[in-house]
Amino acid sequence: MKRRMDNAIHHLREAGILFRSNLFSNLMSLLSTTLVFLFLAMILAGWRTTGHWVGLIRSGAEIQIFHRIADVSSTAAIVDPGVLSKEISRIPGVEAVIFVNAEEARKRMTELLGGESDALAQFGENPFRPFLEARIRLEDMNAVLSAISSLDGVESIRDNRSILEMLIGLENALRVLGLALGIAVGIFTFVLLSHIIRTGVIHNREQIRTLRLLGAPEFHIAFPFFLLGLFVSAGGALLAAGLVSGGISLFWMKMASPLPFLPLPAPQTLQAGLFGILGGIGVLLGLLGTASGLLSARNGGDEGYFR
Amino acid sequence: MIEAQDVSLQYPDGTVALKPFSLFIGGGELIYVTGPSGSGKTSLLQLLLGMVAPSSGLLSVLNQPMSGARGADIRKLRRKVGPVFQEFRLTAGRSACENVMAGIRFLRPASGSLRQEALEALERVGLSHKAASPIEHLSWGERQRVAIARAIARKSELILADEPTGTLDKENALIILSLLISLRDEKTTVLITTHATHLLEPARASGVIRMDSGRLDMSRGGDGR
Repeated sequence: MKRRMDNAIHHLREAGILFRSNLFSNLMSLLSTTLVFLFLAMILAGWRTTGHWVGLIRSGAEIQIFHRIADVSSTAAIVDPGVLSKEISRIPGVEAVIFVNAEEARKRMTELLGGESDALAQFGENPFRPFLEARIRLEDMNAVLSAISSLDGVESIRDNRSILEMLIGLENALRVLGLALGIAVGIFTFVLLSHIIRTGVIHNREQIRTLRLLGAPEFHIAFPFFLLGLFVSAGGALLAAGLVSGGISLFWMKMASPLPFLPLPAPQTLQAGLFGILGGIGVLLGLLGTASGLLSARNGGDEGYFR
Repeated sequence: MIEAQDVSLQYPDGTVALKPFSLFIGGGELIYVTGPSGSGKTSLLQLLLGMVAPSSGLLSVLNQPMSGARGADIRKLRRKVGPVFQEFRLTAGRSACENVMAGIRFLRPASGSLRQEALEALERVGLSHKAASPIEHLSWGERQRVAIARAIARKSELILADEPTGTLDKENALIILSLLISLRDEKTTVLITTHATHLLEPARASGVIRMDSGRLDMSRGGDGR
């Protein structure tokens, strides 16, 4: 046990010596991996945020139905919202219908605008109209909209389909961008680490050769290189996750007050997800890149006939 | 310990490094390998250390057949061998003690601590007072003594010293030879290659292998203890 602990400390020290032996280059490599992981972290945060919005809209797909109301200039019959509400609730895909009167509509907007609601006081009369609000199943949206439009007394329908479609488009774009960037980050980090480790092996080939001649297991020789690879890759990833997490905390704090109607996902969940995903990718790439560097140095080594 | 039957070594470029030879070296022997530069002394040690495989014949070192040996077998064998190199093969930037520890930290668990074992080995070569000194601060003679301390700490069954005095002055060379000879005991065989025959005391050896152009000629002496 004591020897294992001693060896663990030794491997950490050796990894530190390896890092310091090419300090500037390794620092630049750490900075590079941090930067590429930073881009990935931002895309991931954007993807998860838009995904959150899409989820919210999908879970509560509501439409507003504006019906004909009393109008002195019109001879059209006044529509009874109660009757219309019953007709709408019979349409397949409609889950609930409620009547929102003008006063309730004004109250909702006042809550939504928060500190900016003073602007509503400029209006002498209540500028809002009563309407019917229906909660519908998203997958039936087209059929429901078509059925409601054909009902007598319906003037217009306001749905959030365009916003939803835009958000879904944005989410898809960010997903594709995230995947593309993930692949790019993967290739970049893999190649970078492979090169760093190969260079490290070449710089230390005499020491490695000596250890081989003394019968050291390959694992013993390779371990400090794996630690170096993990430090550059996972270290860069976690540093990027930390930076973006800090940015999220700051951004969320700034956004909460001016945009109260923009429901953002819980920052802690987002931050924990970033650390988990980026840390995992960093560790995986660290191991793969190091293994590749060690293998390429071994296969392309100058030992030739000697074993 | 070492058994060879009609063993030869030829490199891929066709160079014959060792012509067919047979020999037997038992446990606890002290063997000098002498001959001019290029006679095949280093090739013989490379063969015994598993750095190259014999081109023909049967070779067994510490009961490990060397023909067709796998990497794991070679590593296992090397853990039982204490090599001492002409160029020391010590790591710069590390202390004498760390260099000794580097040679034993992957071996079987020992009763004492790594540092303690390393310090005891350095004590045997008279360098305990320089345990913390970086290798670069030591003289050539001291460096070779650190390399020998590494072999001592490994408690090797076979010490293979390849021109251990090659870079040393006479005074230091005698110290190093004396140290290596002192490692020989019932369980440890010591094989020393050198072209500096004037420094050797053949009477102390149990055998001398004379090499010339890849040809081995072994003569047995007394026990030499």
